[in-house]
Amino acid sequence: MKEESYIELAFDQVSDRPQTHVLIIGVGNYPYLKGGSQEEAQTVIGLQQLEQLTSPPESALALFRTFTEFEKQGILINPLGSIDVLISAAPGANIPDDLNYRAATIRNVELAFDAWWKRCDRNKDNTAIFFFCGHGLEKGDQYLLTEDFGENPRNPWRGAFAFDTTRSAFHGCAAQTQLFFIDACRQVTGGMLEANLSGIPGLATGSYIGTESIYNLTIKAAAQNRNAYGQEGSASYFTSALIRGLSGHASTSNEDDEWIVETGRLALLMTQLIKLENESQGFPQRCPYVMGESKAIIRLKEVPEVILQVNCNPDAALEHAALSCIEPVSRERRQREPAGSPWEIPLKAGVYELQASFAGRQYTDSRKMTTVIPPFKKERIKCQ
Amino acid sequence: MKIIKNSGNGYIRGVISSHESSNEFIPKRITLLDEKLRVLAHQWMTGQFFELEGLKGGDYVVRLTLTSGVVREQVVHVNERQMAEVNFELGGISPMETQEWAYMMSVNEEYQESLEYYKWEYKRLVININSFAVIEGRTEPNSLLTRFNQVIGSEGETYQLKTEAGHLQYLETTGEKFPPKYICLPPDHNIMIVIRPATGPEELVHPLEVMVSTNNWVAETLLAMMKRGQLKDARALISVADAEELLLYKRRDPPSAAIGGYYILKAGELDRLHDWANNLANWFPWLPDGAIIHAWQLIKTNNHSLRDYMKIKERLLEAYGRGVPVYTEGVRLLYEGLLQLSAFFYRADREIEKTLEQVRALISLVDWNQGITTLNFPKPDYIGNPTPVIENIVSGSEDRYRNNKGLVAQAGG
Repeated sequence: MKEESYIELAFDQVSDRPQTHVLIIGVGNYPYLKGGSQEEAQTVIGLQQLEQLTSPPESALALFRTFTEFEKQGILINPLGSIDVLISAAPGANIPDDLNYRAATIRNVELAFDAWWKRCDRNKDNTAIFFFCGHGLEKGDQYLLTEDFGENPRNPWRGAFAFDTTRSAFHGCAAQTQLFFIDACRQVTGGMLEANLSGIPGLATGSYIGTESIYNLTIKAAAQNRNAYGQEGSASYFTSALIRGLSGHASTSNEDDEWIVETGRLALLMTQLIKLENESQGFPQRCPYVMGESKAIIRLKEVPEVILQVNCNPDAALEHAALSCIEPVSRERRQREPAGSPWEIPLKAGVYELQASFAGRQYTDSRKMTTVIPPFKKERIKCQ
Repeated sequence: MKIIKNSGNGYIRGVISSHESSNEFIPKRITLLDEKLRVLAHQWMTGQFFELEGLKGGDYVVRLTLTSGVVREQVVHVNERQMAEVNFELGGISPMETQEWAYMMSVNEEYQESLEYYKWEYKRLVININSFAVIEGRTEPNSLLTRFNQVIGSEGETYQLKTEAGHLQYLETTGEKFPPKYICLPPDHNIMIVIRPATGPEELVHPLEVMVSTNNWVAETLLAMMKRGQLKDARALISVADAEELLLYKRRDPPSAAIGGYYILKAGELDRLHDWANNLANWFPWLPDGAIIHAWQLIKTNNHSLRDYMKIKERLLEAYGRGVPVYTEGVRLLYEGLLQLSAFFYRADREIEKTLEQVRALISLVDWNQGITTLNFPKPDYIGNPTPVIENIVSGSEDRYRNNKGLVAQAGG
């Protein structure tokens, strides 16, 4: 881990050309909160329940790896200029030795934000990406908690910053594409209801009157007064869904024979993508968003892969149906013998012919043309 | 609608069938793709029929996209010199014919998901529905829509009403088992309303879903496109010049003029606003949205003088004094504008700080997924005691009204 005031980027190829600049913050270690190494008895009602987190460092690392991989593949429309990573993880966490990162203290976050703003400011065509994963609370503004939150139980908020104020101020940055992904809870505690929190500052307050960035997008992982979820020791559902979306599940084809990921479609699909991460969770997460105009940020090199799920109508026909999926140009055929559960096939996005054939006469042999488009497709073949 | 491609001589003839013939006027988007899913052409259309001409023989995908986000696709094979047909039957899109417009128009991602994920469960809610107006700073019941112990089944209920001109109006839904919900009703319009149980998981989304629309379908579609960041699609539907026309006819339809104003602001074509935003703010002193649009026209204009800052402040405080903006975009811009002013005045302007604090309370209730301002009360604390809370929010205290009156007089002068 580096000294607080020394900024060495995790990825550094900063130039004045249009680039993508990413700031990643993952806070799992809260030493002054419950279970922390220097636990303080928190006096504000509700803060006593805030515990250590294992998912945010994993989420931060996963997103870092994703963007470096995108850069290797050359799919970012604005090539990667920088990634700054701030991670607070419990001792013994599996952070790669060769990663340049700093602890996500409020001071480091302030410095990193300021430096990131300056990098983004270098070209109006830059893409600015801000990601935070950790504890969050909300009353009027959403307050994101850094590592040193709760150090002084009489004023625990010194380790927090007001996100909505921060986001609003960042409209003052020259970069016209500004993406903020906030993977944190938005609940209000009893103590917060009584307190006046309007004095908690943002990372910037922006003493300006100006326009909003054209291509702005803010997605939050939780609806108001709700929680964001993740499995212990793994990237959160929101982060995994974000990576899935950026990697192609939120892509669309365009007139130029390209598959692109646009910010608007990503925003629209986030809740759905979270469900794909874990359908069994009952999908209690909703991802509200605010956006300006949609903007393409990723141009895939290959046609994306999509899961097609094939069933029969009526359902009872499925266990008698020999199913086929045919690519109409190459006539490449995939087949499945009769089985009781729907057929799931990973396919390149495109048009396919589906066939169901039956040995007996109870059901009718059928065929159907269908499109297979990200993020997934469910199709039922009428067999009666 | 005709799309001409000059590469062949086959063609596709399409029919879009709906229960209600009036819904043919709702804009719909047709996209033609080839077998590799390359987009060949796309266009907005109204009416029942469309043709896609000049096509080489082969497989094509015809995609119909509704404003609600509902997508229907058909794969069709075209032979040279022959016609192929596609038929999009939208009759099954809604459980009742009278609700068809809502399922075509409403930006409702939950519904999309429900088609994939939820098995329809029969739900039944008993609710009370009221409507009230804000006149000179006071809430006054009106008789636009009043129902007590109304049973809302899974398929929902449909209502139509004509809102009054000249003041803000709200729909209130309450029930014993859930917190109240308030929806702005655009004044002086024929309003269509669908109320139904929400499809999302219990305790996460408000149990009641209320869809409200005017019959100005172009303005309503524009509103939905803006919400989704689809300004490119919106531009294809309506040119900025057409949006100018919405503003031009503001005397006839001020709420739609406000939508036009928000669109022009978002499209960044400030010149198109001329002095009309100022007029919209002055001529309709009951409409918060006009004052907000004018404030943002000033904000987005470079080289501010102190006089500009004072005018922006005046407009935003005036907007707040008038009540809750009719459109969610207005609430957002009111908040963002006050945040910027607060920063500019180093948090030292008491009026701005006080208003900002009150707007923070307002935004905590806003359902950001709706185009028309919708307030959900998430905390059970409010159950059974909604009126004092909502009165403060929609009409404000006596102070707020006095403040508004003063500013209106100024603006009128």
